[in-house]
Amino acid sequence: MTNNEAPTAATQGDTKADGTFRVQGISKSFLLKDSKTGEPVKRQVLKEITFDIPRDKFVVLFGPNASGKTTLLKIIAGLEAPDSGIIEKPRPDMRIDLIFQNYRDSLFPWKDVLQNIAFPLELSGVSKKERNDAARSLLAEIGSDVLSENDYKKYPYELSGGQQQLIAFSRALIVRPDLLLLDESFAALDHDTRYLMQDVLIKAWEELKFRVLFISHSVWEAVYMADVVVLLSKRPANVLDVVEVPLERPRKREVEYSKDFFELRSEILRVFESELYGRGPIIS
Amino acid sequence: MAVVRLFRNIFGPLLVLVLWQLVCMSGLINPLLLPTPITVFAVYLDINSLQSLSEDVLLTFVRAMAGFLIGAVTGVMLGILLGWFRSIYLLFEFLIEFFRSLPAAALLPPFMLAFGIGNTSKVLLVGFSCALVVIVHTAAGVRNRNPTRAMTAQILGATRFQIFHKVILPEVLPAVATGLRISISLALIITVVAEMLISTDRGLGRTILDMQLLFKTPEMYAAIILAGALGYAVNKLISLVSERIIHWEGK
Repeated sequence: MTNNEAPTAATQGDTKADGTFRVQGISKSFLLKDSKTGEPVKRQVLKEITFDIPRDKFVVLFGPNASGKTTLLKIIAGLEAPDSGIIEKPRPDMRIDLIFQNYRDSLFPWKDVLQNIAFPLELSGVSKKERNDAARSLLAEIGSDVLSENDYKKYPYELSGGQQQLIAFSRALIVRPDLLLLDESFAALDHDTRYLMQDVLIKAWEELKFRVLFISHSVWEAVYMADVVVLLSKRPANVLDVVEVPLERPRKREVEYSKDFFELRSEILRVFESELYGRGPIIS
Repeated sequence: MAVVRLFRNIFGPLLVLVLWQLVCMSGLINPLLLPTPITVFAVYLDINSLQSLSEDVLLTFVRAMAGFLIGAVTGVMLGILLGWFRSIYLLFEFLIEFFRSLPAAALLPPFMLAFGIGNTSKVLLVGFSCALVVIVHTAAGVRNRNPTRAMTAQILGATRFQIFHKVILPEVLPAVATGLRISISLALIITVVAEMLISTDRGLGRTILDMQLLFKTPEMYAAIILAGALGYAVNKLISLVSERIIHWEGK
């Protein structure tokens, strides 16, 4: 299963036409100070990580705490350089956006909703009217369930967590990125909002057709959202397994109670727990 | 609620005035040393005194503001520079902390020697002291800001200049505002002290000291109260303006 180059026949042509986005043999180490001796020690966080992000698959990355997932996202986004390995892009000028986990720290509190979303267009010198129109129509397209038009002039601190997360998504999506990286976007949201935002993101992905790599800390979330779950090992992280999730789309919430869903979830947990604790599941 | 708030606001001042009046009426203190509040407030009713006091307020205000503005502008610019380039900050950290800890009034004599006894030495000393406070706060703001926003802007395609002016500048505003609030009070303190120590014919500091030397205590207290009112007014003003501009702070 480590080989994930087996898309279904129906989607294969699509993937090929758009080229392959491949994370190829990425390794990364950091120099850390030893807590006792104060000597610098080299600690490897990523070890030859390889997987693909196909155009038509929702890819979720799942792994233990502190396994270097955020570092991996930064490397893919070009914010950090790997020690070895390459990011193979179908086109060199691909637009890659990264959405950080903490939306509070990444939104601009001095800008209102529309100004925040239009920020990337402001950077490229698009006129105020045009960029506001673009922000409005994007919000109407992907966010009408979460944000009403009365909220467009509000500031981020006046909005709920889910609404702020929507602004962060929209700000990234307004320039139509080829690849969107999301770092545990819903970890801080309550259960209901998390449900809602998962569906908002999937809907946006289905409509705007960007590649996606989504980090999750929840097996349930991973299975619900993904077509492909990439399982990482403990540090130094490498790819333990790539699990295909053949549940049909569009997915309904009921799928969570299905036998297939349960089995996929158990399969991932089994791999994950044996990696973490060196044993099989508690209940076999 | 408005009535309650009004009562809360005037309770303290009223209590002080009543106690003050009672102490005076008890005859324990020579009225030459402590005049009654009524005599003090009567000074404002005298048209000549009022005019002269208004001129003092204006002069003190202009001196303090001139120094404050010089200090604010240089402080913000140097603070950003030093916050951005940590290595330069470390070179000057000791000097900045030393002069910030040095009581500003102690520098009046050398400033007089260097810049004469006119307005220049007063305004420059105010500017110097304010600049140090603003530098420290601004540099700390630049240094301790959360890096996520700048990184987000970078991913979204911002140039280095765009990151600086569209993200870092607004991000540093709250820290700058704190520095400005502290220095505006400092500016008034130093101006009044400088007016007392450097021969000047007008200004609140000068008048307070002159009236004390002439035993015109009602005029002295009238000037002191105005100095307090001036300080209160500029503080309120700067708080209101910064809350308006930095509406997101603390939210």
